[in-house]
Amino acid sequence: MKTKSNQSDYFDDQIKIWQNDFEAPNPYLASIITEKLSHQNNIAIFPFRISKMAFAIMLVFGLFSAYFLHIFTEQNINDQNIAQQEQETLMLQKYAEEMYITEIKQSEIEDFFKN
Amino acid sequence: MSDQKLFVEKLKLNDPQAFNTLVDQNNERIYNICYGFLRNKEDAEDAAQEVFIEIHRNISTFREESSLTTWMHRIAVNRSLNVLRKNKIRHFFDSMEQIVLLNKKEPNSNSDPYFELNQKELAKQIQNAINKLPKNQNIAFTLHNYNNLSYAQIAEIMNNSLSSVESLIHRAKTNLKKSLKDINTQKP
Repeated sequence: MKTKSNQSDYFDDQIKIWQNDFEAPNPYLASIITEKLSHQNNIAIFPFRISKMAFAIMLVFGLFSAYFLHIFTEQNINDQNIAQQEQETLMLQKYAEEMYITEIKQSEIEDFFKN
Repeated sequence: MSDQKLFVEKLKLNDPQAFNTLVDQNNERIYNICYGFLRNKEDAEDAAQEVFIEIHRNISTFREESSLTTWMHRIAVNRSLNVLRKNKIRHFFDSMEQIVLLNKKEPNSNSDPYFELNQKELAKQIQNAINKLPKNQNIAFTLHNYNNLSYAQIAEIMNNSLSSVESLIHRAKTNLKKSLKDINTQKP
């Protein structure tokens, strides 16, 4: 029982230390607040708070970024398609040339045997 | 019309004189409430300023269901808790810095560092333990034990019944005793 009471006393002492921890405010706090409030009347026309403004700016920035990313990726895809088409055309040309050459070779071989 | 109602009407009409009176009469009380939660002079002063700005902005929405003082207390508590929430990340980095600094600190053979903890630091430790309490317990305990508000006033601020406030404070004390005991037993 005594231990419990000692523990309780110790707790109360700790709480007293916490309660006594205090720093007085700036003596001009009231005038600072009054001054700020007087400015509030002038800026009341602007209804947005900084956090809302920051959110709006971030949103616009995000939308712009997404739009530019979209354009950029679309451009890339187009470039890739064009490159692929060019490559396919080149391959076809090459294939056609090879076929032509083999046909000539074939006719030359046939001519040789005929002769 | 009572004086209180007349005063609120003046505030709602944006009467600068009425606001000056409101600030003069309540700035210390609001600062004390903010300090009770924030434990930092600068933070408490900033929060007190924001509380009055919020009162100025929202006085037209004050429905007079509670007294003006209770309404102001409620704003002060909410604002302080918001600041506490925002400061959590900052405190995390501060504590990391402290750990780094403590590690760099050269050991002083003449004195035990735990005896060097002054009352301010001890109060901070107790505050940390209070901040770890559930939100409602933290509010009730701080308003009662630091700002000396009655159970009835706290019940009105927190929109709770008197008995639930009593129970919150009791539970806060029990939890706090436990966590402070843990802190003490952790010391070598």
